[in-house]
Amino acid sequence: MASMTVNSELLREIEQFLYREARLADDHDYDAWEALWTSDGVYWIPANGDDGDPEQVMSIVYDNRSRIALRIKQLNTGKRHSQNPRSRLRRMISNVELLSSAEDELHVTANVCVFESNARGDIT
Amino acid sequence: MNAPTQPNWAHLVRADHVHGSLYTDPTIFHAELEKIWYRTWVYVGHVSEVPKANDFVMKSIGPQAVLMTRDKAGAIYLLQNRCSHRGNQVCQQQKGNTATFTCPYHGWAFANTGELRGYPFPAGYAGVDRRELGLGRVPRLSVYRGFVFGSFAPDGPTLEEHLGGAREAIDRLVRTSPAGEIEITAGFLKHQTRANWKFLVENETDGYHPQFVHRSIFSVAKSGIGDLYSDASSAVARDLGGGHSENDLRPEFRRLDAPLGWFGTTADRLPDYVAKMNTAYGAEDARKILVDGTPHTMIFPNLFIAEIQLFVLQPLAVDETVQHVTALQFKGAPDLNRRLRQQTMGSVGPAGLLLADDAEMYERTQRGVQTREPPFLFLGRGRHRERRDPEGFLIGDATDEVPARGMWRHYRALMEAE
Ligand code: FES
Ligand SMILES: [Fe+2]
Repeated sequence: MASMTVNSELLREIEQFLYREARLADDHDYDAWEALWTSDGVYWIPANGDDGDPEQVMSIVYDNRSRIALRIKQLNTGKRHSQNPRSRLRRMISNVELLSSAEDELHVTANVCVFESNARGDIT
Repeated sequence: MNAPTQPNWAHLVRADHVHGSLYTDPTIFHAELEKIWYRTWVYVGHVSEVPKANDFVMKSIGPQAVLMTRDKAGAIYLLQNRCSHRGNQVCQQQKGNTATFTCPYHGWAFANTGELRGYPFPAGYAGVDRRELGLGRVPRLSVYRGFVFGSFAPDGPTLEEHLGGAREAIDRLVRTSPAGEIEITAGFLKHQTRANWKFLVENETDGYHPQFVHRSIFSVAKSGIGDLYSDASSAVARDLGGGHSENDLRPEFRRLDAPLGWFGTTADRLPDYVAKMNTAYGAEDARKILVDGTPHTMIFPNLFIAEIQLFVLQPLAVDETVQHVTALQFKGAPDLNRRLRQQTMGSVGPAGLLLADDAEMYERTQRGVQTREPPFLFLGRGRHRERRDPEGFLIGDATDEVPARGMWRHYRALMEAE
Protein backbone atom coordinates (compact mmCIF):
# COMPACT_ATOMS: atom_id res chain seq x y z
CA MET A 1 0.00 0.00 0.00
CA ALA A 2 1.30 3.40 -0.91
CA SER A 3 2.13 5.58 2.01
CA MET A 4 -0.57 8.04 2.89
CA THR A 5 0.70 10.98 4.79
CA VAL A 6 -2.19 13.09 5.84
CA ASN A 7 -1.78 16.46 7.41
CA SER A 8 -4.22 15.51 10.12
CA GLU A 9 -4.28 18.93 11.67
CA LEU A 10 -5.25 20.52 8.36
CA LEU A 11 -7.78 17.79 7.64
CA ARG A 12 -9.31 18.32 11.08
CA GLU A 13 -9.64 22.01 10.33
CA ILE A 14 -11.30 21.27 7.00
CA GLU A 15 -13.76 18.84 8.57
CA GLN A 16 -14.65 21.34 11.27
CA PHE A 17 -15.34 23.92 8.58
CA LEU A 18 -17.59 21.55 6.63
CA TYR A 19 -19.46 20.55 9.80
CA ARG A 20 -19.96 24.17 10.75
CA GLU A 21 -21.28 25.01 7.28
CA ALA A 22 -23.70 22.07 7.52
CA ARG A 23 -24.85 22.99 11.01
CA LEU A 24 -25.54 26.62 10.09
CA ALA A 25 -27.55 25.49 7.06
CA ASP A 26 -29.38 22.79 9.06
CA ASP A 27 -30.30 25.38 11.68
CA HIS A 28 -31.39 27.98 9.09
CA ASP A 29 -28.79 30.36 10.48
CA TYR A 30 -28.32 31.87 7.06
CA ASP A 31 -26.66 35.12 8.04
CA ALA A 32 -23.85 33.21 9.73
CA TRP A 33 -23.85 30.74 6.84
CA GLU A 34 -23.55 33.52 4.28
CA ALA A 35 -20.66 35.04 6.21
CA LEU A 36 -18.61 31.94 5.39
CA TRP A 37 -18.53 32.92 1.72
CA THR A 38 -15.71 34.90 0.15
CA SER A 39 -16.50 37.44 -2.54
CA ASP A 40 -15.37 35.09 -5.35
CA GLY A 41 -17.28 32.07 -4.01
CA VAL A 42 -19.41 30.02 -6.39
CA TYR A 43 -22.17 27.71 -5.18
CA TRP A 44 -22.70 25.01 -7.79
CA ILE A 45 -25.10 22.05 -7.70
CA PRO A 46 -24.82 20.20 -11.02
CA ALA A 47 -27.86 18.53 -12.58
CA ASN A 48 -28.44 15.17 -14.25
CA GLY A 49 -25.74 13.31 -12.35
CA ASP A 50 -22.90 14.60 -14.48
CA ASP A 51 -20.71 17.63 -14.10
CA GLY A 52 -21.69 19.38 -17.33
CA ASP A 53 -19.98 22.75 -17.78
CA PRO A 54 -22.20 25.14 -15.82
CA GLU A 55 -21.27 27.90 -18.26
CA GLN A 56 -22.95 25.89 -21.02
CA VAL A 57 -25.68 23.69 -19.54
CA MET A 58 -28.33 23.90 -16.85
CA SER A 59 -27.41 23.33 -13.21
CA ILE A 60 -29.75 23.13 -10.23
CA VAL A 61 -27.81 25.95 -8.58
CA TYR A 62 -24.98 27.99 -10.07
CA ASP A 63 -24.77 31.07 -7.87
CA ASN A 64 -22.10 33.72 -7.80
CA ARG A 65 -21.66 35.68 -4.59
CA SER A 66 -24.34 38.23 -5.39
CA ARG A 67 -26.91 35.56 -6.21
CA ILE A 68 -26.08 33.77 -2.95
CA ALA A 69 -26.86 37.04 -1.20
CA LEU A 70 -30.10 37.41 -3.17
CA ARG A 71 -31.15 33.88 -2.20
CA ILE A 72 -30.64 34.68 1.50
CA LYS A 73 -32.48 37.98 1.20
CA GLN A 74 -35.38 36.13 -0.39
CA LEU A 75 -35.49 33.63 2.47
CA ASN A 76 -35.32 36.44 4.99
CA THR A 77 -38.50 38.03 3.64
CA GLY A 78 -40.38 35.20 5.37
CA LYS A 79 -42.49 34.87 2.19
CA ARG A 80 -40.44 32.13 0.54
CA HIS A 81 -43.30 29.62 0.49
CA SER A 82 -41.11 26.60 -0.22
CA GLN A 83 -39.42 27.30 3.13
CA ASN A 84 -42.44 28.48 5.06
CA PRO A 85 -42.81 26.47 7.23
CA ARG A 86 -39.15 25.57 7.27
CA SER A 87 -37.90 22.10 6.56
CA ARG A 88 -36.28 20.17 9.36
CA LEU A 89 -32.84 19.35 8.04
CA ARG A 90 -29.84 17.24 8.91
CA ARG A 91 -26.76 16.94 6.74
CA MET A 92 -24.41 13.99 7.24
CA ILE A 93 -20.88 14.55 5.94
CA SER A 94 -18.40 11.75 5.40
CA ASN A 95 -15.45 10.63 3.26
CA VAL A 96 -13.72 13.97 3.67
CA GLU A 97 -10.58 13.74 1.62
CA LEU A 98 -7.89 16.28 0.88
CA LEU A 99 -6.87 15.67 -2.71
CA SER A 100 -4.32 18.41 -3.06
CA SER A 101 -3.15 21.57 -1.40
CA ALA A 102 -1.22 24.57 -2.59
CA GLU A 103 -0.40 27.92 -1.03
CA ASP A 104 -3.91 29.30 -0.94
CA GLU A 105 -5.94 26.51 -2.46
CA LEU A 106 -7.26 23.21 -1.14
CA HIS A 107 -9.01 20.59 -3.21
CA VAL A 108 -11.32 18.66 -0.89
CA THR A 109 -14.00 16.08 -1.64
CA ALA A 110 -16.67 14.74 0.68
CA ASN A 111 -19.96 12.88 0.52
CA VAL A 112 -23.08 14.52 1.86
CA CYS A 113 -26.41 13.01 2.69
CA VAL A 114 -29.21 15.48 3.43
CA PHE A 115 -32.33 14.44 5.30
CA GLU A 116 -35.29 16.77 4.88
CA SER A 117 -38.60 16.54 6.68
CA ASN A 118 -41.39 18.84 5.56
CA ALA A 119 -45.14 18.90 4.95
CA ARG A 120 -44.24 17.67 1.46
CA GLY A 121 -42.91 14.49 3.03
CA ASP A 122 -39.55 13.12 4.06
CA ILE A 123 -36.75 13.16 1.52
CA THR A 124 -33.25 11.79 1.80
CA MET B 1 -74.43 0.49 -24.70
CA ASN B 2 -72.88 3.32 -22.76
CA ALA B 3 -70.15 2.34 -20.34
CA PRO B 4 -71.62 3.20 -16.93
CA THR B 5 -68.21 4.31 -15.62
CA GLN B 6 -67.80 7.09 -18.22
CA PRO B 7 -67.52 10.33 -16.22
CA ASN B 8 -70.16 12.96 -16.79
CA TRP B 9 -67.91 15.66 -18.23
CA ALA B 10 -70.63 18.31 -18.36
CA HIS B 11 -71.13 17.84 -14.64
CA LEU B 12 -67.42 17.98 -13.82
CA VAL B 13 -66.35 20.81 -16.16
CA ARG B 14 -68.65 23.82 -15.98
CA ALA B 15 -68.40 27.34 -17.33
CA ASP B 16 -66.50 28.61 -14.30
CA HIS B 17 -66.26 25.65 -11.94
CA VAL B 18 -64.27 22.44 -12.24
CA HIS B 19 -64.61 19.40 -10.00
CA GLY B 20 -61.74 18.46 -7.69
CA SER B 21 -61.76 14.84 -8.86
CA LEU B 22 -60.42 16.00 -12.24
CA TYR B 23 -57.07 16.38 -10.50
CA THR B 24 -57.18 13.32 -8.26
CA ASP B 25 -59.10 10.47 -9.88
CA PRO B 26 -56.79 7.87 -11.49
CA THR B 27 -59.54 6.71 -13.88
CA ILE B 28 -59.82 10.26 -15.20
CA PHE B 29 -56.05 10.36 -15.65
CA HIS B 30 -56.18 7.18 -17.74
CA ALA B 31 -59.00 8.61 -19.83
CA GLU B 32 -56.86 11.73 -20.41
CA LEU B 33 -53.95 9.64 -21.62
CA GLU B 34 -56.17 8.06 -24.28
CA LYS B 35 -58.10 11.15 -25.30
CA ILE B 36 -55.47 13.85 -24.96
CA TRP B 37 -51.90 12.62 -24.64
CA TYR B 38 -52.16 9.74 -27.12
CA ARG B 39 -54.39 11.59 -29.55
CA THR B 40 -53.66 15.29 -29.87
CA TRP B 41 -50.38 16.86 -31.03
CA VAL B 42 -47.83 16.85 -28.22
CA TYR B 43 -44.52 18.74 -28.27
CA VAL B 44 -41.63 16.29 -28.27
CA GLY B 45 -38.39 18.18 -28.93
CA HIS B 46 -36.55 20.61 -31.12
CA VAL B 47 -34.56 19.86 -34.27
CA SER B 48 -31.48 21.50 -32.74
CA GLU B 49 -31.36 18.69 -30.16
CA VAL B 50 -30.37 16.31 -32.99
CA PRO B 51 -28.24 18.65 -35.11
CA LYS B 52 -26.13 16.07 -36.95
CA ALA B 53 -26.84 12.99 -39.04
CA ASN B 54 -27.50 9.95 -36.80
CA ASP B 55 -28.00 12.01 -33.62
CA PHE B 56 -30.68 10.85 -31.21
CA VAL B 57 -32.22 12.06 -27.97
CA MET B 58 -34.64 10.43 -25.53
CA LYS B 59 -37.89 12.33 -25.23
CA SER B 60 -41.46 11.53 -24.22
CA ILE B 61 -45.15 11.80 -24.97
CA GLY B 62 -46.89 11.64 -21.62
CA PRO B 63 -45.46 8.68 -19.67
CA GLN B 64 -44.22 7.06 -22.90
CA ALA B 65 -40.55 7.27 -23.81
CA VAL B 66 -40.00 8.44 -27.38
CA LEU B 67 -36.69 8.33 -29.19
CA MET B 68 -36.20 11.31 -31.50
CA THR B 69 -33.67 10.40 -34.17
CA ARG B 70 -32.21 11.96 -37.28
CA ASP B 71 -31.20 9.57 -40.04
CA LYS B 72 -28.19 9.99 -42.27
CA ALA B 73 -30.25 11.86 -44.87
CA GLY B 74 -31.37 14.39 -42.23
CA ALA B 75 -34.99 13.23 -41.72
CA ILE B 76 -36.43 13.12 -38.19
CA TYR B 77 -38.21 10.11 -36.69
CA LEU B 78 -40.09 9.47 -33.47
CA LEU B 79 -39.57 5.87 -32.42
CA GLN B 80 -40.66 3.85 -29.45
CA ASN B 81 -38.03 2.39 -27.20
CA ARG B 82 -39.35 -1.15 -27.41
CA CYS B 83 -37.82 -4.04 -29.27
CA SER B 84 -40.29 -5.66 -31.64
CA HIS B 85 -38.99 -9.07 -30.58
CA ARG B 86 -39.88 -9.41 -26.93
CA GLY B 87 -40.17 -5.84 -25.80
CA ASN B 88 -36.80 -4.99 -24.29
CA GLN B 89 -35.64 -1.37 -24.44
CA VAL B 90 -33.28 -0.91 -27.34
CA CYS B 91 -31.69 2.30 -26.04
CA GLN B 92 -30.41 3.19 -22.57
CA GLN B 93 -28.65 6.45 -23.43
CA GLN B 94 -30.31 9.83 -23.00
CA LYS B 95 -28.63 11.08 -26.16
CA GLY B 96 -25.91 10.15 -28.58
CA ASN B 97 -25.07 9.40 -32.18
CA THR B 98 -25.65 6.08 -33.88
CA ALA B 99 -26.99 4.69 -37.13
CA THR B 100 -28.14 1.48 -35.43
CA PHE B 101 -29.80 0.50 -32.18
CA THR B 102 -28.93 -3.04 -31.21
CA CYS B 103 -31.18 -4.68 -28.67
CA PRO B 104 -29.00 -6.08 -25.90
CA TYR B 105 -31.34 -9.02 -25.20
CA HIS B 106 -31.01 -11.13 -28.40
CA GLY B 107 -29.11 -8.79 -30.65
CA TRP B 108 -31.76 -7.57 -33.09
CA ALA B 109 -30.45 -4.51 -34.89
CA PHE B 110 -32.63 -1.57 -35.91
CA ALA B 111 -31.79 1.39 -38.14
CA ASN B 112 -32.40 4.86 -36.66
CA THR B 113 -35.38 5.04 -39.04
CA GLY B 114 -36.94 2.13 -37.13
CA GLU B 115 -36.44 -0.58 -39.76
CA LEU B 116 -35.24 -3.95 -38.61
CA ARG B 117 -31.83 -4.47 -40.16
CA GLY B 118 -31.22 -7.99 -39.00
CA TYR B 119 -31.13 -10.59 -36.25
CA PRO B 120 -28.60 -13.17 -35.14
CA PHE B 121 -28.94 -16.78 -36.42
CA PRO B 122 -31.45 -15.79 -39.14
CA ALA B 123 -32.09 -19.38 -40.20
CA GLY B 124 -34.47 -19.56 -37.22
CA TYR B 125 -36.74 -17.03 -38.90
CA ALA B 126 -37.44 -18.76 -42.19
CA GLY B 127 -40.57 -17.27 -43.76
CA VAL B 128 -40.66 -14.23 -41.45
CA ASP B 129 -41.08 -10.81 -43.09
CA ARG B 130 -38.53 -8.48 -41.52
CA ARG B 131 -40.32 -5.43 -42.87
CA GLU B 132 -43.16 -6.02 -40.45
CA LEU B 133 -40.87 -6.06 -37.44
CA GLY B 134 -39.58 -2.50 -37.23
CA LEU B 135 -39.59 -0.38 -34.06
CA GLY B 136 -42.89 1.24 -33.21
CA ARG B 137 -43.25 4.72 -34.64
CA VAL B 138 -45.32 7.63 -33.41
CA PRO B 139 -47.79 7.60 -36.31
CA ARG B 140 -47.64 11.32 -37.06
CA LEU B 141 -44.78 13.77 -36.80
CA SER B 142 -44.79 17.39 -37.81
CA VAL B 143 -42.28 20.21 -37.42
CA TYR B 144 -43.12 23.88 -37.07
CA ARG B 145 -40.15 26.27 -37.19
CA GLY B 146 -37.93 23.63 -35.65
CA PHE B 147 -40.42 22.52 -32.97
CA VAL B 148 -41.11 18.80 -33.37
CA PHE B 149 -44.55 17.52 -32.42
CA GLY B 150 -45.89 13.97 -32.44
CA SER B 151 -49.37 12.48 -32.40
CA PHE B 152 -50.32 8.90 -31.67
CA ALA B 153 -53.51 9.39 -33.67
CA PRO B 154 -52.99 8.19 -37.27
CA ASP B 155 -55.23 10.99 -38.48
CA GLY B 156 -56.78 14.17 -37.18
CA PRO B 157 -56.16 17.90 -37.43
CA THR B 158 -52.83 18.99 -38.90
CA LEU B 159 -50.23 20.51 -36.59
CA GLU B 160 -50.92 23.96 -38.05
CA GLU B 161 -54.63 23.48 -37.33
CA HIS B 162 -53.83 22.30 -33.82
CA LEU B 163 -51.54 25.25 -33.10
CA GLY B 164 -54.13 27.71 -34.46
CA GLY B 165 -53.85 30.96 -32.54
CA ALA B 166 -50.67 29.79 -30.77
CA ARG B 167 -48.68 29.62 -34.00
CA GLU B 168 -48.02 33.31 -33.81
CA ALA B 169 -46.27 32.80 -30.45
CA ILE B 170 -43.70 30.56 -32.09
CA ASP B 171 -43.32 33.02 -34.96
CA ARG B 172 -42.73 35.85 -32.50
CA LEU B 173 -40.30 33.78 -30.50
CA VAL B 174 -38.02 32.91 -33.41
CA ARG B 175 -38.08 36.51 -34.63
CA THR B 176 -36.25 37.51 -31.44
CA SER B 177 -33.27 35.68 -32.87
CA PRO B 178 -31.17 37.48 -35.45
CA ALA B 179 -31.02 34.22 -37.43
CA GLY B 180 -34.77 33.60 -37.05
CA GLU B 181 -34.16 30.37 -35.17
CA ILE B 182 -34.05 29.24 -31.58
CA GLU B 183 -31.84 26.43 -30.35
CA ILE B 184 -32.26 24.02 -27.48
CA THR B 185 -28.68 23.34 -26.46
CA ALA B 186 -28.46 24.15 -22.75
CA GLY B 187 -29.63 20.78 -21.39
CA PHE B 188 -32.70 20.21 -19.22
CA LEU B 189 -33.50 20.27 -15.55
CA LYS B 190 -36.09 17.68 -14.62
CA HIS B 191 -38.26 19.14 -11.92
CA GLN B 192 -40.58 16.56 -10.45
CA THR B 193 -43.71 17.67 -8.62
CA ARG B 194 -46.36 15.69 -6.82
CA ALA B 195 -49.25 17.36 -8.56
CA ASN B 196 -51.66 16.82 -11.41
CA TRP B 197 -50.43 18.14 -14.77
CA LYS B 198 -53.43 20.46 -15.21
CA PHE B 199 -52.45 22.51 -12.16
CA LEU B 200 -49.21 23.25 -13.99
CA VAL B 201 -50.94 24.10 -17.27
CA GLU B 202 -53.32 26.45 -15.46
CA ASN B 203 -50.54 28.10 -13.49
CA GLU B 204 -48.38 28.86 -16.52
CA THR B 205 -50.74 31.58 -17.71
CA ASP B 206 -52.30 32.46 -14.39
CA GLY B 207 -51.70 36.17 -14.10
CA TYR B 208 -53.35 36.30 -10.66
CA HIS B 209 -50.70 34.45 -8.60
CA PRO B 210 -47.32 36.15 -9.29
CA GLN B 211 -47.73 38.99 -6.81
CA PHE B 212 -48.50 36.54 -4.02
CA VAL B 213 -46.46 33.44 -4.81
CA HIS B 214 -43.40 35.38 -5.96
CA ARG B 215 -43.58 38.39 -3.67
CA SER B 216 -40.45 37.25 -1.84
CA ILE B 217 -38.23 37.51 -4.91
CA PHE B 218 -39.93 40.51 -6.51
CA SER B 219 -39.43 42.51 -3.32
CA VAL B 220 -35.70 41.82 -2.96
CA ALA B 221 -34.71 41.69 -6.65
CA LYS B 222 -36.44 45.02 -7.40
CA SER B 223 -38.02 43.28 -10.34
CA GLY B 224 -40.75 44.94 -12.35
CA ILE B 225 -42.38 41.60 -13.19
CA GLY B 226 -44.86 41.88 -10.32
CA ASP B 227 -46.32 45.08 -11.76
CA LEU B 228 -47.12 43.31 -15.04
CA TYR B 229 -49.57 41.14 -13.12
CA SER B 230 -51.46 43.69 -11.10
CA ASP B 231 -54.92 45.15 -11.16
CA ALA B 232 -53.49 48.24 -12.82
CA SER B 233 -51.59 46.40 -15.56
CA SER B 234 -52.59 46.89 -19.17
CA ALA B 235 -51.37 43.36 -20.01
CA VAL B 236 -53.97 40.98 -21.39
CA ALA B 237 -54.90 37.39 -20.57
CA ARG B 238 -55.90 35.64 -23.79
CA ASP B 239 -57.61 32.38 -24.68
CA LEU B 240 -56.02 31.39 -28.00
CA GLY B 241 -58.46 28.51 -28.56
CA GLY B 242 -57.50 24.85 -28.72
CA GLY B 243 -56.58 24.91 -25.03
CA HIS B 244 -53.74 27.37 -25.73
CA SER B 245 -53.46 30.64 -23.85
CA GLU B 246 -51.16 33.52 -23.13
CA ASN B 247 -50.37 36.44 -20.91
CA ASP B 248 -49.79 39.12 -23.50
CA LEU B 249 -47.45 41.57 -21.80
CA ARG B 250 -46.86 43.69 -24.89
CA PRO B 251 -49.26 46.49 -23.89
CA GLU B 252 -47.13 47.10 -20.79
CA PHE B 253 -43.81 46.81 -22.63
CA ARG B 254 -45.02 49.19 -25.35
CA ARG B 255 -46.13 51.66 -22.71
CA LEU B 256 -42.65 51.51 -21.14
CA ASP B 257 -41.10 51.59 -24.66
CA ALA B 258 -37.69 50.27 -23.57
CA PRO B 259 -35.85 47.83 -25.85
CA LEU B 260 -34.96 44.67 -23.85
CA GLY B 261 -36.93 45.93 -20.85
CA TRP B 262 -38.83 42.59 -20.90
CA PHE B 263 -35.49 40.91 -20.20
CA GLY B 264 -34.57 43.24 -17.36
CA THR B 265 -31.73 44.82 -19.29
CA THR B 266 -30.94 47.56 -21.79
CA ALA B 267 -29.70 47.66 -25.38
CA ASP B 268 -26.28 49.04 -24.44
CA ARG B 269 -25.55 45.96 -22.32
CA LEU B 270 -26.00 43.56 -25.25
CA PRO B 271 -24.47 45.58 -28.11
CA ASP B 272 -23.55 42.59 -30.33
CA TYR B 273 -27.03 41.13 -30.17
CA VAL B 274 -28.71 44.47 -30.85
CA ALA B 275 -26.39 45.14 -33.81
CA LYS B 276 -27.22 41.74 -35.31
CA MET B 277 -30.94 42.35 -34.83
CA ASN B 278 -30.63 45.71 -36.59
CA THR B 279 -28.88 44.04 -39.51
CA ALA B 280 -31.38 41.20 -39.69
CA TYR B 281 -34.63 43.16 -39.45
CA GLY B 282 -33.72 46.81 -40.00
CA ALA B 283 -33.40 49.24 -37.10
CA GLU B 284 -37.09 50.11 -36.94
CA ASP B 285 -38.46 46.56 -36.88
CA ALA B 286 -35.65 45.38 -34.64
CA ARG B 287 -36.56 48.02 -32.11
CA LYS B 288 -40.19 46.91 -32.15
CA ILE B 289 -39.17 43.29 -31.60
CA LEU B 290 -36.88 44.27 -28.73
CA VAL B 291 -39.59 46.35 -27.07
CA ASP B 292 -42.27 43.66 -27.42
CA GLY B 293 -40.15 40.81 -26.06
CA THR B 294 -40.82 37.10 -26.32
CA PRO B 295 -44.16 35.40 -25.64
CA HIS B 296 -45.57 33.99 -22.43
CA THR B 297 -47.68 31.30 -24.04
CA MET B 298 -48.95 27.87 -23.00
CA ILE B 299 -49.38 25.53 -25.96
CA PHE B 300 -51.75 22.79 -24.87
CA PRO B 301 -51.07 20.28 -23.50
CA ASN B 302 -47.38 20.43 -22.71
CA LEU B 303 -45.29 23.26 -24.19
CA PHE B 304 -44.86 26.45 -22.22
CA ILE B 305 -42.84 29.26 -23.77
CA ALA B 306 -41.97 31.41 -20.76
CA GLU B 307 -40.22 34.44 -22.29
CA ILE B 308 -36.70 33.18 -21.70
CA GLN B 309 -37.33 29.50 -20.92
CA LEU B 310 -38.99 26.53 -22.41
CA PHE B 311 -40.95 24.15 -20.18
CA VAL B 312 -42.12 20.74 -21.34
CA LEU B 313 -44.73 19.13 -19.10
CA GLN B 314 -44.76 15.38 -18.69
CA PRO B 315 -47.52 13.70 -16.71
CA LEU B 316 -46.45 10.44 -15.07
CA ALA B 317 -49.46 9.75 -12.85
CA VAL B 318 -52.59 11.54 -11.69
CA ASP B 319 -50.53 13.24 -8.98
CA GLU B 320 -47.07 13.27 -10.50
CA THR B 321 -45.72 15.58 -13.20
CA VAL B 322 -42.25 16.43 -14.43
CA GLN B 323 -41.40 19.87 -15.78
CA HIS B 324 -38.46 19.62 -18.13
CA VAL B 325 -36.99 23.08 -18.36
CA THR B 326 -34.22 24.73 -20.30
CA ALA B 327 -33.01 28.18 -21.27
CA LEU B 328 -34.02 29.33 -24.73
CA GLN B 329 -31.02 30.02 -26.90
CA PHE B 330 -31.19 32.32 -29.89
CA LYS B 331 -29.12 31.34 -32.86
CA GLY B 332 -26.38 33.86 -33.53
CA ALA B 333 -26.64 35.65 -30.16
CA PRO B 334 -23.97 34.33 -27.77
CA ASP B 335 -23.99 37.39 -25.50
CA LEU B 336 -27.76 37.16 -25.07
CA ASN B 337 -27.60 33.39 -24.63
CA ARG B 338 -25.22 33.49 -21.70
CA ARG B 339 -27.55 35.86 -19.88
CA LEU B 340 -30.54 33.66 -20.78
CA ARG B 341 -28.84 30.66 -19.18
CA GLN B 342 -27.86 32.56 -16.04
CA GLN B 343 -31.33 33.99 -15.52
CA THR B 344 -33.00 30.68 -16.25
CA MET B 345 -30.82 28.82 -13.78
CA GLY B 346 -31.66 31.36 -11.12
CA SER B 347 -35.39 31.14 -11.76
CA VAL B 348 -36.33 27.52 -12.38
CA GLY B 349 -36.02 24.05 -10.95
CA PRO B 350 -36.37 22.83 -7.38
CA ALA B 351 -34.05 25.58 -6.10
CA GLY B 352 -35.36 28.28 -8.44
CA LEU B 353 -36.02 31.71 -7.03
CA LEU B 354 -39.42 31.51 -8.79
CA LEU B 355 -40.27 27.90 -9.57
CA ALA B 356 -39.57 26.43 -6.14
CA ASP B 357 -42.54 28.44 -4.91
CA ASP B 358 -44.76 27.58 -7.88
CA ALA B 359 -44.01 23.91 -7.22
CA GLU B 360 -44.91 24.40 -3.58
CA MET B 361 -48.29 25.77 -4.69
CA TYR B 362 -48.89 22.86 -7.11
CA GLU B 363 -48.25 20.33 -4.37
CA ARG B 364 -50.25 22.12 -1.69
CA THR B 365 -53.14 22.50 -4.12
CA GLN B 366 -52.93 18.81 -4.93
CA ARG B 367 -53.17 18.01 -1.22
CA GLY B 368 -55.96 20.56 -0.83
CA VAL B 369 -58.23 19.09 -3.49
CA GLN B 370 -57.96 15.63 -1.91
CA THR B 371 -60.43 16.89 0.71
CA ARG B 372 -64.12 16.60 -0.05
CA GLU B 373 -65.65 20.02 0.50
CA PRO B 374 -66.26 22.19 -1.39
CA PRO B 375 -66.26 19.77 -4.32
CA PHE B 376 -65.58 22.39 -7.02
CA LEU B 377 -62.81 24.91 -7.72
CA PHE B 378 -63.97 28.37 -8.79
CA LEU B 379 -62.48 29.78 -11.99
CA GLY B 380 -64.83 32.72 -12.45
CA ARG B 381 -62.38 35.60 -12.08
CA GLY B 382 -63.07 38.30 -14.67
CA ARG B 383 -65.90 36.43 -16.35
CA HIS B 384 -68.07 39.56 -16.36
CA ARG B 385 -65.39 41.50 -18.24
CA GLU B 386 -64.41 38.91 -20.84
CA ARG B 387 -64.37 40.41 -24.29
CA ARG B 388 -63.19 39.71 -27.86
CA ASP B 389 -60.06 41.30 -29.27
CA PRO B 390 -59.99 42.47 -32.92
CA GLU B 391 -58.89 39.00 -34.02
CA GLY B 392 -61.79 37.37 -32.24
CA PHE B 393 -59.90 35.84 -29.32
CA LEU B 394 -61.43 35.95 -25.86
CA ILE B 395 -59.42 38.25 -23.62
CA GLY B 396 -59.52 39.55 -20.07
CA ASP B 397 -57.53 41.73 -17.72
CA ALA B 398 -54.01 40.67 -16.74
CA THR B 399 -55.13 38.80 -13.62
CA ASP B 400 -58.29 37.20 -15.04
CA GLU B 401 -58.87 33.47 -15.38
CA VAL B 402 -59.69 33.61 -19.09
CA PRO B 403 -56.79 31.22 -19.94
CA ALA B 404 -57.89 28.55 -17.46
CA ARG B 405 -61.50 28.67 -18.66
CA GLY B 406 -60.30 28.35 -22.25
CA MET B 407 -58.17 25.35 -21.36
CA TRP B 408 -61.09 23.62 -19.66
CA ARG B 409 -63.49 24.29 -22.55
CA HIS B 410 -61.08 22.56 -24.89
CA TYR B 411 -60.42 19.80 -22.36
CA ARG B 412 -64.10 19.02 -22.11
CA ALA B 413 -64.45 18.88 -25.90
CA LEU B 414 -61.55 16.43 -26.12
CA MET B 415 -62.84 14.25 -23.30
CA GLU B 416 -66.38 14.17 -24.67
CA ALA B 417 -65.19 13.21 -28.15
CA GLU B 418 -65.67 9.58 -29.14
S1 FES C 1 -36.10 -8.54 -26.96
FE1 FES C 1 -34.88 -7.44 -28.32
S2 FES C 1 -33.79 -8.92 -29.35
FE2 FES C 1 -35.05 -10.08 -28.06
FE1 LIG D 1 -45.36 31.41 -10.90
